[in-house]
Amino acid sequence: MKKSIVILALCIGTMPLSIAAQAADRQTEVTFSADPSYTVIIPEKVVLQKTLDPTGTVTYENDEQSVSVEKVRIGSEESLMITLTSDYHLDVDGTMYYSLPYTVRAGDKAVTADDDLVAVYSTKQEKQETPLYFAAEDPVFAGTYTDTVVFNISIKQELI
Amino acid sequence: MKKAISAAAAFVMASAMAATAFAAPADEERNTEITTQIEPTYTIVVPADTAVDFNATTTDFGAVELVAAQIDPSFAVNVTLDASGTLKNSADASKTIAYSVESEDGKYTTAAYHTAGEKTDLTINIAQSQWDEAFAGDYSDTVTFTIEYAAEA
Repeated sequence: MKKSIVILALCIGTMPLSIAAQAADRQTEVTFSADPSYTVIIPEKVVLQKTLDPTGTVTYENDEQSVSVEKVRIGSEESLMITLTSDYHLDVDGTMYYSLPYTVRAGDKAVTADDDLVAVYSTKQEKQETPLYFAAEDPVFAGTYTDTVVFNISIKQELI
Repeated sequence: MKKAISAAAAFVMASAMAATAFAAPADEERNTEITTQIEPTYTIVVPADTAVDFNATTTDFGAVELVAAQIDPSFAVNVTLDASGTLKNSADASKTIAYSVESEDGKYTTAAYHTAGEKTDLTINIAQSQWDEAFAGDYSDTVTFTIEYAAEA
């Protein structure tokens, strides 16, 4: 009999502890940070080639280049935006008074000084590509014509 | 239970540090060179064979004309005329008639052309005194136009 009392006393003694443990509220926060990341591929060099159309008009063009992105991981409300900065004139060796205007198209869209947007991309692992098209008319002078354009890559905090 | 709470706290702190360390990347810029090479081309027309009428002191000799050109800046198409200045009798070369090839600026010897459409009208001039002193017969001479593409000094 003495043995039974001892066991009961132990049960009573432990019960309040168990009840207290069940009433306690404990929260665990699980967080994860996915850093923005992307790969952008732009042309290193664009060489305009002489083109002769059926009417005999000579132009200098290149439609073999593109800008592409892949493994884009940005915010769901963000856009990866690529714009172009250029004076849209090719300079020729040996003179300061003549330059050759040229145009740029990204897909079906004209890229200009007033509308410099090349492409907008959103989160996607697969490759996203925008074809580029450069063109200039037949210049007055012979020579080597060059210009440098700048592709600007930025993340906008909005869906475009 | 204490151990579990401590672990959760550590996890939150680590996450916060990671978010700070890997903020969105700054705007980037990449350059691309656009280039094209245009070889110089030009077409120049020089006078064809011309017959001079007897006693004509001035005969149209056509023109030297740059009809198409895509040349380097600071370059020119230079045309130089080499003419003996004497028409020679076909039967006796010692019998001659002096002549000159002239433009509106005087005797034509050389000229520089830069853009399509530039031209120099030429005439063959023979003084009346040369006609008056000439022997009968056929006279001829050959002139040479030398065309050179060169940078201007």
